[in-house]
Amino acid sequence: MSEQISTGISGLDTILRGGITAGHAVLVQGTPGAGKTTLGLQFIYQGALQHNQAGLVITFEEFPQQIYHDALKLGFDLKALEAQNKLRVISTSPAVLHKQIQEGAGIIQRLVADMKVERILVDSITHFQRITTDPVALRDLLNSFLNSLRQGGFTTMLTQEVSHEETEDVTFEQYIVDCVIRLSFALVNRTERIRTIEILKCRGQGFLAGKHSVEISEGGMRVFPRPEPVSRLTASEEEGELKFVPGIVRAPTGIVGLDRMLEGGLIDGFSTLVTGDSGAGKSILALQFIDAGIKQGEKGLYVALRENYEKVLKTARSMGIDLEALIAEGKLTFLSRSPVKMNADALYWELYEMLQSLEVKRAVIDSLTDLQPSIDDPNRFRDYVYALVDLFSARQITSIFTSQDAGGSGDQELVESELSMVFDAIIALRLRRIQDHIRKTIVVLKLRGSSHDTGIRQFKITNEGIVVQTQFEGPTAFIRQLQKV
Amino acid sequence: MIGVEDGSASNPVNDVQQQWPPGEKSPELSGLAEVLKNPAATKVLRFFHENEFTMDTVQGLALWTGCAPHHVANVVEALVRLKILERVGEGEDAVYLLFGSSRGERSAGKAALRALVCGHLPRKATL
Repeated sequence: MSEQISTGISGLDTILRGGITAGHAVLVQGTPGAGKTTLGLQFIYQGALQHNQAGLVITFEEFPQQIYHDALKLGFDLKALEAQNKLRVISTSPAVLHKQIQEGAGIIQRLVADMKVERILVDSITHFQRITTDPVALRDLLNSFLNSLRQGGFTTMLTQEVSHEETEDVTFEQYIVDCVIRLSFALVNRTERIRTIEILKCRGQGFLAGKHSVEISEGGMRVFPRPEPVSRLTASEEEGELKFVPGIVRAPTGIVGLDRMLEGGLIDGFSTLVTGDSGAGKSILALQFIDAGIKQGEKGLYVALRENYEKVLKTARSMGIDLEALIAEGKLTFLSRSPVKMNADALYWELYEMLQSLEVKRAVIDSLTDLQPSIDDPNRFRDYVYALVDLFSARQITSIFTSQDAGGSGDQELVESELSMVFDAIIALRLRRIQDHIRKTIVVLKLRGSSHDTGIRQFKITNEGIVVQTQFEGPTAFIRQLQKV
Repeated sequence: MIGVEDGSASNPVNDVQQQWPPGEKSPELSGLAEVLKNPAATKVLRFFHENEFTMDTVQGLALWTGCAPHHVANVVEALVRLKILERVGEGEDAVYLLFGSSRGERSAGKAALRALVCGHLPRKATL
């Protein structure tokens, strides 16, 4: 079996399940600005720097001086590697390159042998049309060129321009290479562009199909593989798996009345959706849950996507929770990200990396409503939430995800919704208008593997947080109570 | 004598000769001043100076520099005679590269080129 080599691009090796096969020819397609040259340069630069594999960059259009300059802005000092004879940027014409490679004893051959070149970037093969525009002749020419490179044992990246972002047209170049990578910088929401990468083909190896998000910044290109949920058990297996287990460990929420409704608290390692109306107290419930954990020695993680740090700090302070102190003592990790231009996949991988070193026992994502706009497809959003839930449950972290539900959706619809299937427990907080009074109610709609209170209860938000009161008996009883007063 | 941008004047022949290793036969430099008068010379010299691993035909160099191919042809042939560039192959397929590149001994050609570009060419290229 051929050896797989690292591309040097963070995340891309994950998509390629280990990297690209040594000796393969990889076609990198994309529109202008999609990041083709950046990807290619990073492959060459990191190959030379990290794996001591000398690299050759052949450019047909962009001046080497511009390449040095642009690469340096990304943190790649190509000149330094040139001085060490580990890298060379050559400007030439397709005809010269082709002739040199074919002849076998040309200047490039000598250079490649002297430097012991293992990686080559050709930017871009679109320029081979300068030799011929006849499709048959062009295919033969490129085939011959690629075969020469394959026989030389080089791992080669070839960039190619495409005219449309979402084109499904199959080019002949896609057939003659071993691997096809498509980069896109497509318009979304009519005003913003987002970068994505997709593997269309990779001979002899598996890969994660579909589009994955990409960011280019100082340090180069970074790919964020689309988070994938772990495979689920079949329905019949699930029934057997999730039977009530007596003596199961509970994670108290810190709200006495709610813990009573939950018969002791949430279940350790389970994920809960706290959904409901805006202003009903979802974030407060989440903060109390984190605080209760910390009080019993469990470290917490709070991810704020709606409110900024200052606002969450004030909310917590109003209930007597000093978040600043908890953070300073290392008991709480606080992550605040703006929902504007949110890259949900990047957030997932940030959390993933964070959880490799953090010993967290409780986590809050506040809120899913702010994550949703960055993932336009509902099925993809559900899978994303599944992956996030898995991220926590695999580490036995008890988690709460808040979400503002669409106005008018009933409890039954909520329980049966696609998203709710992801969670082990669902708690709904509602604002109910009765004549000219607003009442806050709480109900446990679902608690997998456990019995729970099914009543609708009224609650208040005090300076100690949520206080669950008596059973809510509906409008008639409520009006009767008002008349008595 | 050729004037440079800051008003000083120096001799390009001397500057190029000084870069040649002692004991090695230096090129015939009497035609250098004439070459530098060619409008394409500045662009070709500067292009090779900034992109030192270039290897291309007259047609390719014309594309890189934006000069007419016949001007480029005259300049590169003159630079080959001056041992600043070297030519591999003949006719239309002839490839030009920095002197000594094919033998991996580019230092003399590179230093001579640097002396010319830094000492005798305007700092900014003109159309």
